[in-house]
Amino acid sequence: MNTRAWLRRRLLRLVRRPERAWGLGLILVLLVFVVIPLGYMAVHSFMFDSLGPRYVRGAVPGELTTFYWQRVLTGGLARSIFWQPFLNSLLIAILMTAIALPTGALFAWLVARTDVPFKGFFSAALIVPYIVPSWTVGLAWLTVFKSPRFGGQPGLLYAVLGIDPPAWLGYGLLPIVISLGIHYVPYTFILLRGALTTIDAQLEESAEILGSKRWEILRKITFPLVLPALGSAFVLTFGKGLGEFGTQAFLGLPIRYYTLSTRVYAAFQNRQQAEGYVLTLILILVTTLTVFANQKLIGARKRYTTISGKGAYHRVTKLGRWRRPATALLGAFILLFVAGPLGLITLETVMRYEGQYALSNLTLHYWIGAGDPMLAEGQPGIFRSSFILGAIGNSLQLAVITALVCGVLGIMLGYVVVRMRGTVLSRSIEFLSFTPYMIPGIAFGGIYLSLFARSWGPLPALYGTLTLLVLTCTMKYLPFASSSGVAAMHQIDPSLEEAAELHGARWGRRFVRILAPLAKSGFLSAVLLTLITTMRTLDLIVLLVTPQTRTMTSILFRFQQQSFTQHAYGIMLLIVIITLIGHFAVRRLGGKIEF
Amino acid sequence: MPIIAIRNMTKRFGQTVAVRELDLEIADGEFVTLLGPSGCGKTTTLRCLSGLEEPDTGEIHFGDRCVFSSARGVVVPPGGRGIGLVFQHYALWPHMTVFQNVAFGLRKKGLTRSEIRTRVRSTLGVLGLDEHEGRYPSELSGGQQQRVALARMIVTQPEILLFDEPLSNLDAKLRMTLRAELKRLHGEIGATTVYVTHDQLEALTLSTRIAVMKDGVVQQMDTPQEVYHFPRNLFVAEFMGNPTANFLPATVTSAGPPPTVALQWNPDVPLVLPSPTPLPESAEVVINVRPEDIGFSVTPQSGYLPATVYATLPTGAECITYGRLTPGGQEVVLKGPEEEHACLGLNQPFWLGLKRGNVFDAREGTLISSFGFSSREEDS
Repeated sequence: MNTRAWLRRRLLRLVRRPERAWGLGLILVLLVFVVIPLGYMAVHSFMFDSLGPRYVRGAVPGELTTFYWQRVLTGGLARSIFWQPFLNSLLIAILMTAIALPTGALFAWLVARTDVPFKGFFSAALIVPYIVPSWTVGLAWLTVFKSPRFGGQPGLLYAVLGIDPPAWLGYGLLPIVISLGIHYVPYTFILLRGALTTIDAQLEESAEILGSKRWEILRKITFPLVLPALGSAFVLTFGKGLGEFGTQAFLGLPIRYYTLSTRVYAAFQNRQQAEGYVLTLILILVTTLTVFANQKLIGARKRYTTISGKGAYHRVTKLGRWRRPATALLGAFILLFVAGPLGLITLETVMRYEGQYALSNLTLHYWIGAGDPMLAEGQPGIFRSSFILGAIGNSLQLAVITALVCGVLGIMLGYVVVRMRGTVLSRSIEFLSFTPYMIPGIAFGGIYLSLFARSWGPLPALYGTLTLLVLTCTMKYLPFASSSGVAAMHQIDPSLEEAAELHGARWGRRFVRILAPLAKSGFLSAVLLTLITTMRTLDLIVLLVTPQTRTMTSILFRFQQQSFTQHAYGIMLLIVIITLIGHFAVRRLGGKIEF
Repeated sequence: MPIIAIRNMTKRFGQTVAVRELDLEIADGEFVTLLGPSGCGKTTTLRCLSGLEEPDTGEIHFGDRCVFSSARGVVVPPGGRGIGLVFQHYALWPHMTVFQNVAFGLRKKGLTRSEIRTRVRSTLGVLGLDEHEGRYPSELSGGQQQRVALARMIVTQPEILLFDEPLSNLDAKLRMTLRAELKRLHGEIGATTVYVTHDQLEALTLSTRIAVMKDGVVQQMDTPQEVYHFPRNLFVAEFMGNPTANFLPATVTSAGPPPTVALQWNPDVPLVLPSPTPLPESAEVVINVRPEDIGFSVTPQSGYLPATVYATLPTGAECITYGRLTPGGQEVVLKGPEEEHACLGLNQPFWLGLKRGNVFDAREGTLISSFGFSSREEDS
């Protein structure tokens, strides 16, 4: 066969089946925006940055050095730069997992398997802590326990009862662990509830017929079967907890309680890039190790599917005299940690002066008032301030564009991965598109700040543009979109497309007539999920925003640091409302919550 | 001139060769079945014909039109080949109604709306689907979905019909009904049909010719009767027939004609094969006899082999009996009318005689001679 014939066939195939061409395009995108940034960071952690000469006499920026690794790991300041924050991060992750996992598991069992009442309500309400930003409970916590000793206004406890709460109650480890623990309860709850309802009931019934008691069945059959789900919940909670930023910043920074993520933030903020790279790499390494440790622990052999399709009807466990206490427990959790915090945050926004709990102190000034020089340095109400309205506009624009780009990329990615299943290209795309998931948001933002702020190759300097924010959010949230895309494309048997091809439908027509209608709901829920995730993201963009590209979360962060509490909490409330609406829209589309 | 001609076609998937240097010719109006176990390359061959898969080398001609040639770089896309294909899982578009599914292929042909409607309706009518045109596939039974897939294929009046195991998802009863329907449809439209299946009964009942495939190579391509009675090699002999035929290793003791053989398991009983062709003296052979071609007797007879009953499996009209040769213990299976077999009890001794069958070279596995068939059959 001659070359021309071969070339002709190749070309014809490329036109007929676009997945290979797309696959190569996607690989290019992933190389530029995932692999190169990681490599760049790894290499530059061994080079003097622009501030290098300030630390080491005669250092030339760009020169190879192990200075930063030594400084972080073994130097005189290593304890305060790295080891103490690292231990804090670990402790936080361990303790918050210790709260989230058992609580979530207990709630899942109560709702899935017992005769506890109001299941629908509890199910819906227990998911709320996950939908709202992770620092919601943390901010609400402050309204109760903050103390004038650390700047700002008194909290509820001080104002009403006159008790000055000790620092450890208001800031640092304890409140961080509790608020993050609560935020992550829904992870375990959702995963375990799913596992508990899909176990083949016959597995448990067989044990019952053989004479096992309820408790024995739970211990010997049910628990081992849901262990893989519990393992995933552990990894998600622990891994994400390590990289959390917002809560740790709001509740840690006022008392100089540092964690790895706030150290990363500080390093980039102070333009100590190389140090930031070292800390980021360590943070990524620890997160990655968690994922692999889980795979080793649970093991591939135990990754049995518990979904059987039939026999999913489980007999309800009667709680008897425990029914009331169990109901009360669920109710108390929702009141204290779901409704309570949102109520407190709402209340805070309508108080003229913080800490004065009197009817006469109530006002809508911070929502609709014109500026008053005596209040928040004259910052007008949320709906009157062009600064805040601009941020809301930016946030919406960022979220919508990111969501659409992610959605389209996700579908393309899903198409390529599924249609080319088994090839190296497919595997690489799937693996690389998942990689950003392992990189904590604050670290991801840090990398993009140093790489794409300046002009780089054919890419223009992006610092201060919304494009940079869109790019960062798109790549970071690509794992959600791609897993939705892969799932959606899995639903569509290749023969459906081939049948259209037999009737002479070209790729465009196949996409419009067959693929798009069938992937519609998967696409929409991916878009909405990315939208609400982008709306509430702080850690990812906090390093990248400029006054022009301010977002709701970034000005919230700033207002909180300036003690413009009412404004901060008002914006918080808007974010909560938008994300909740988005979530219920996803639910109506039949979409699933992605982590 | 054949309407389908495959020349020297090879298709690899990575390291595995799915189809190996295949040559195949199919005449206009034929119903050819590609038959074989899973992984034999039958579906790949069909998909290469449809254009959904592209061979690595070779040529495919439809009539005087070349639709694929690796040497000349010709690749006609599936839509331009004038073929119809029914998929194993039907591939009905779940978001379209029956009408929309069937009409899809007509929309590009420049027909007016009312022409499309008439053609879709008349096709649905032929297949008894008139009342279901507004339904979605999920609202139809398996048999109805199958019919919609058929309608979608024939509405564009393709010259060549391709089927990829279309009945394998249906229950046994429905399969029988649809088999009859397919045969009638083929008779009515007379389009050349290539049909892939692993079900030999389907192949035997439907085809004008069967191509038995193994490891990407056609082992034998003949009429159903020929393939069934005179398998060209041991693979075909083993694959065809249910239950699997008997294979008795033997040595030729006298060339004949008629030749005499001694069974490996029971060399004491010389077996005279009723055949006019001699066999090479002292050759190692395998005697292949179908279960229905074994006679039995409850009393000893000359030329009959002693055996005991292992199990009897009555199926209503007929009975399958498993026996063990004594001595030796080799399993033999025979099939006959149930009332005849009714006298056989568990472990009861009986005698069996080989009425007709084939002789294969033990080493090569190729057919060397047949015995017991009437001369007309043997000539064919």
